[in-house]
Amino acid sequence: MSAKVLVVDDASFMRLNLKNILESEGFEIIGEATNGVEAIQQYKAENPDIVTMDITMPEMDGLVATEKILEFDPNARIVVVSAMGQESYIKKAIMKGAKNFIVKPFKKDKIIDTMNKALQG
Amino acid sequence: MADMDFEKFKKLFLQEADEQLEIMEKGVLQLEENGEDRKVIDEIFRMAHSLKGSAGSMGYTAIASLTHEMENVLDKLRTGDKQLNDEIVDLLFISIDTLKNLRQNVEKGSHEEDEGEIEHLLFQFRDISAASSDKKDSAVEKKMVLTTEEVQLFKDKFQEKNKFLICFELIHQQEMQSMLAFLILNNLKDEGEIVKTLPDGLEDVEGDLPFFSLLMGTEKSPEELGAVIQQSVEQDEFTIYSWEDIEQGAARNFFQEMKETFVRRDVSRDSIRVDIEKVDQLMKLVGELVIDKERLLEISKNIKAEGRDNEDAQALLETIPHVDFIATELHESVMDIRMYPVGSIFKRFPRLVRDISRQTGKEVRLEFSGEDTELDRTILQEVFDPLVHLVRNAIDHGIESPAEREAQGKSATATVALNAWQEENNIVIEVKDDGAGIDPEKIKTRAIQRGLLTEKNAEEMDRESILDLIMEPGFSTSETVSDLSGRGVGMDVVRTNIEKLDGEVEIASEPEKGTSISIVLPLTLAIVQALMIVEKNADYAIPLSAIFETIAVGENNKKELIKTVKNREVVIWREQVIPLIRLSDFFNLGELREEGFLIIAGVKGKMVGIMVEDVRGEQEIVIKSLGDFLGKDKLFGEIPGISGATIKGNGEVALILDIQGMLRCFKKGGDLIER
Repeated sequence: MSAKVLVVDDASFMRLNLKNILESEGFEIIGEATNGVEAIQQYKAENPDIVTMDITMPEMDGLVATEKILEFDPNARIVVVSAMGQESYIKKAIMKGAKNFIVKPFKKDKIIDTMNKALQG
Repeated sequence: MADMDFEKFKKLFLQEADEQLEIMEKGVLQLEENGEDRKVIDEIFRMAHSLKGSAGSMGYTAIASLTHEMENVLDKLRTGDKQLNDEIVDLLFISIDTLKNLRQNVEKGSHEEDEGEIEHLLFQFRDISAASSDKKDSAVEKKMVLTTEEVQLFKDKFQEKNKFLICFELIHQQEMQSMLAFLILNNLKDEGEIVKTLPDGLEDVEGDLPFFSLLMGTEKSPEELGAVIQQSVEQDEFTIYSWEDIEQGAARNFFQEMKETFVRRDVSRDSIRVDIEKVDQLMKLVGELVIDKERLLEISKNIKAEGRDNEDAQALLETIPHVDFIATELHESVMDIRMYPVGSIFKRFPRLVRDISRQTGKEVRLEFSGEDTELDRTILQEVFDPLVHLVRNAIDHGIESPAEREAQGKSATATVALNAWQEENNIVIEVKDDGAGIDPEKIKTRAIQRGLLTEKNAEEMDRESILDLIMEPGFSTSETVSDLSGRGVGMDVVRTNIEKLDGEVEIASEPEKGTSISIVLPLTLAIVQALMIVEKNADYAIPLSAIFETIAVGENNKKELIKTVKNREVVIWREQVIPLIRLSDFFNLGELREEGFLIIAGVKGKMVGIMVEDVRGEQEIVIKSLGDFLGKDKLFGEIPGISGATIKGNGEVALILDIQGMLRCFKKGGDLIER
């Protein structure tokens, strides 16, 4: 069964990019959110297997969204997507319960690998 | 990505980039008007961040790098690590303009992006980011040490439970290694109790972390722990050792390898950033110390000479050599701090060379060697402009058009090489091309036309001296004056600037083969060994590096040493005939003296005999510039033959003789130029 993914990123370019990569490997994109607020709404509505979560976003950033989603579902699998040089944010996300992280700019293999690892837990 | 996809992505990228750039620009305008505003900074940060992400994925590295650096500075503003200032605002504006250009390039499809294009911007950002950064590099311990008590505690605490040492070697993951360690640590915390990590404080380490390990007590089996760890890294990147394994030394290899890796790394990584002003200040103080040291040495000479023999005098005599030693060591250490690799300025050339070769329609490949060669930072800064000029000249005048080159059987692409190496106490930086070379005959003709040379003098000159003529003021052999290299004033300025640094310019060239121009520089400035001499009650210093011999001149030998040839006084020295300067005559100090000391000095094989009244001896001198008073348009105008001043041990000032400058006062052929 293909894993259901919610892609959260404020840049539509990034969302498209992730979507293409994930779909080509059999993941099913069940939703796209452009900020933290949308991410929480869609998580509750769609119940995805895994979430890719950008950190810097308007309205509500990825850290808060991660925290809120995990409050709602302690078993949520969230992979944070962040840029090189933002280690401190990634650390915060991990402490809040993110399963793994992806660093931008990313390579396809690395994303798939990371997603699969996160799905194991 | 398939082509169709790529085009789709590109379109989307461009669209978003437009919006992002617009918002960024508006934001920076706001910052300029209203000053620091957290919300606005956040907004610009977010835009830069998004742009970086998408540019990185598309492979537009220039855009990604630039936005990355912008982000760093903006983040510093957000965290209050940095205050907004005009410099940052300007830099942000320039960066946005540059990003717009880069974006245009992408649209035109010429996304041939050159890092050089934005390199200077990147450097500026890095300077700002680094300036107040006080984040420590991870201090890494080299092995895991457990005291006997700790072992006992560990055993007692987890008696019945499993005790594991888990060792990681991240062979597949090159990026964000410390972050993976953090992730693993965080996941394992739920599985048991981690009592010790290596490096200590694993969760706070930043950067590369190929090796790490942790010691934990747990209820879980190795298989269960392995499954958790494999959520983060591959199976072959970690080993779980049981307590029995550890006691048998099973993990020893791991620690050995880890130690070696860290030792190698520490060599290059244990460093701190220091404001250059602080180093310069330290250097100044060391200079003062050296002056005082010389004074002490003089006092100790006096004490010895006068045979004062009390306890204090003896103690002083014992202390002074130590002070001498310490001051010298200190001087060398500070000099060492100021050393910088030449590669730091070489890096700025690829862009320049690309631009010039485009403008001139020439094909040039730039090569480097010796980038690690180190040079005093001050000298390095001063040497950049002359080097730029030399490289321009090489491409503009030296290198032929691709067609000409091919006609001559050369490859169409020419080579310009920047080479650096150390030669004894000098650093040589060479600009070498394989272009047309310099034709000595052309130079002769031109020099005669310009009145720099008589035909007769030209006959007598050797090849090297002829080549040196291109550094005479107002000389140019290029038929056309180009925007790039100007009218030949350049080489003159190059020489003047290099000589100000106590360096030399050497030219070697072979027609059709190419030209090599070398800048020979002293390793360090400021403190040199010198011979102190006396003339008419005043002291002068001559850098020891320029002196070949000192000869006492008296009744017995003056006739043999000094002859008059064609109404000129010359010195016969080691079967050579070299010009003589009487210092009193040179500086118009009055009556000439028949006896005294003859200093044979020379630079670049050109020799001169300098007749002086007396010699005091060798001494370390601190060179002080007379910059505010001497030189063109300065208070006392140009005084050839003096390069600076120094303060003697007794506090008096001595002028430093400039041998090169004195040599230049001779016309080609030997007459002293009227001053």
